[in-house]
Amino acid sequence: MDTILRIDVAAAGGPKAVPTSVDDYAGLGGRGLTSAIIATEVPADAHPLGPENKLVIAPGLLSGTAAPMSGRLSVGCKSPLTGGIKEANSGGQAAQLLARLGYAAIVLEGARQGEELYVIRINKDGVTITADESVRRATNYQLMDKFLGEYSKKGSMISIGPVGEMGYANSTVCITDIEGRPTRHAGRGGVGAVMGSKGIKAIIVDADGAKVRTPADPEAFKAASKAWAEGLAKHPVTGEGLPAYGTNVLTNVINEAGALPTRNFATGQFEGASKISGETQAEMEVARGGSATLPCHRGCTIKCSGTFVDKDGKYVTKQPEYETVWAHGANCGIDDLDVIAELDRLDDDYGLDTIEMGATIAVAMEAGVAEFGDGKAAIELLHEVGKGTPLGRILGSGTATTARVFGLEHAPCVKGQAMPAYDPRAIKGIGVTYATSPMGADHTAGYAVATNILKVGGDVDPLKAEGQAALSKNLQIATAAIDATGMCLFIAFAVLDQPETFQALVDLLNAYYGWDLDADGVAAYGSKILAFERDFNERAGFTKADDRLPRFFKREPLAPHNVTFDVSDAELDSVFE
Amino acid sequence: MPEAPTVRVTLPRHAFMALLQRGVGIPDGTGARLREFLQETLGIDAIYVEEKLQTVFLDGQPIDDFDRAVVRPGAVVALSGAMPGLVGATMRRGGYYARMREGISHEKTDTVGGGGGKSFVVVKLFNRPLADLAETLAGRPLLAPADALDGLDPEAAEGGWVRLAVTLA
Repeated sequence: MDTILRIDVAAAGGPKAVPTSVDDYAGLGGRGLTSAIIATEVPADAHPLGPENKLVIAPGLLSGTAAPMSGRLSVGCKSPLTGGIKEANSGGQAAQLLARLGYAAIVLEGARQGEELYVIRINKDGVTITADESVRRATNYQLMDKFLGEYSKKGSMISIGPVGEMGYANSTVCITDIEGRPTRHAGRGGVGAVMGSKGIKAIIVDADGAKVRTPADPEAFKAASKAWAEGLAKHPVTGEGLPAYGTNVLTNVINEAGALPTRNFATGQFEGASKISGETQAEMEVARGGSATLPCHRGCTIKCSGTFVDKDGKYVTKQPEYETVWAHGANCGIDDLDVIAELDRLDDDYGLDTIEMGATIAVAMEAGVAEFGDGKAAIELLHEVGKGTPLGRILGSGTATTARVFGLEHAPCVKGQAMPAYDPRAIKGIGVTYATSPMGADHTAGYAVATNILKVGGDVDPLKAEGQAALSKNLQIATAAIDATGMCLFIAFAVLDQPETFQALVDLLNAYYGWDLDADGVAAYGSKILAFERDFNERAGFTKADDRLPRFFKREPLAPHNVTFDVSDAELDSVFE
Repeated sequence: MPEAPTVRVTLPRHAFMALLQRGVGIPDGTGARLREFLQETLGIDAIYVEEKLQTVFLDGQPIDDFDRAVVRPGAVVALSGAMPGLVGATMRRGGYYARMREGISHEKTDTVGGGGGKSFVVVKLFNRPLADLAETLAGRPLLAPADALDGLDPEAAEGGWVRLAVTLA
């Protein structure tokens, strides 16, 4: 994995593939590599859809190895949604395959020449790039139908739907799953529009003949990998909860806590929660002949995904995740899993981020475009987005823009990006991360990664007031480091609870690369990534004023606990001081 | 005034699971400490209570100490296993990240749940406890919201709740 494949879309005669050495970027992977390249090579004042922006697609440091759970793919750029640096990551098959083919990253760069759309094919023999008019405005499932024969055995497809072509600020880069379906998405921040701006519709990766990457110390790697797998299997969340119910296991619990944003963040509990819970969803999937337990890529041992089928047993979509069920369910007042699954399918097909789309539809509902709870109307609105009607283009520009167009204060966004499924008034700690993450409101920016083990910046006492900011900082640093490894963030709970499992992760990195990393080294690695990101954002014009939640979260109490977000600005500023 | 009659129903397991997610009434055990309520009233094994009930709410407030909280008539007790992610860790009983939800936590004093005019405790089961404890609850007297099950006689409802004797199909 010592090659960066640069695709120069400005080349005469069409995009040209230029393999280059990783050079100064050696030792970086995943989010570490995407953020380093963007911060170093993209002018901070570049327009996100202009020729100076780049799209970086990077497997993690451990992707392509035999280590379980190492299949995350990072996609980075200057974000069309936030105007700041962006790393969105995804499961699916592509990270493992690109890594095995020796690529640390693919970089799409330069000024697009003409209006042609191109398909890139990568295999062990090299790279071919072909203009293909037939893919114009194709949806992701249509692309699957067209190309599945090429990638179904040992391959994967990275693609954009029609909304990426249209330059929407809400647009994803899609990665096919273990069954070749376009169900995994680097969803946040409009990364699909940047791929579209380079004229690249799809990248088909064929790893036939490529081998699993060989570690520097195979025996040590094997031992660490075994300890790693055992640690994940024995933990009640990674070993039992997620496989049984998927991430939607959270709906009932977050609702009970009064932290489930409902009807555009108007309240914290949804009366229909039990109808759309992970428990109900899993039971429905199994009873209909679908599945509640599937991996999204080979090497995934947690298996938090599944297959959602309709009443006749026909495939609809993958098992909708918690964030999707919340965004299109509680947040829109919709308590019908079949409607939510249909919306999930449409998001995947058009190439839309489910969090941003659900939050946007909820804003539109508050504006009176449709009634809360009207699933049919939500589906129609999503089709408008996919087809590019004038209303659809507004909605596809994101939640903040939609609220501005309709004259609403209630835009639950930070740095222009919609909040995920946890109300920051009820869970203030996550509000701190929403406010201060360089990515905009993002629940994965500060995940439950072993901060008590890392002790970034010294011991933090979470029971003291000042602990809130320090905790958020530590979480963000640890998460940035994990995002660089290619490991799925759902490892977090096992790593949090089991020091030996955290050590196994460090041992995997050391055994593979011949490093001598310790906990301090992991923290320093994460800090370096955040430093790249915050530096870019500062040069792009972001200030402390951007590290804030919208004021209505401070002013409007959230039922049932009637709490507001009362973390002071000084405390927010202290996170990165 | 005579007590409302008990309705005997035979439910498929999935229908009973749906009911348990929404919440069933437990007519006894009020006034007890939460640990006593779970172990003695509901009959949950002490080790299961300590090890598996990692996320517990009393009236929507995350509980950190089973031995402090008191279950009053009208209280709502929700039982869950360990949850994923940052917020899962935040909600966890006595967890490292409990500080992050301080605004909604059940206080670490002898506080009590309850109210709402009910004479019973509402119990909700989620995820692992739902799968593990459903049969335990099926074998005891319960109350259910009158609108939760099709075909219930409205005359059998008292304050919107019906006394049930459930047999699993």
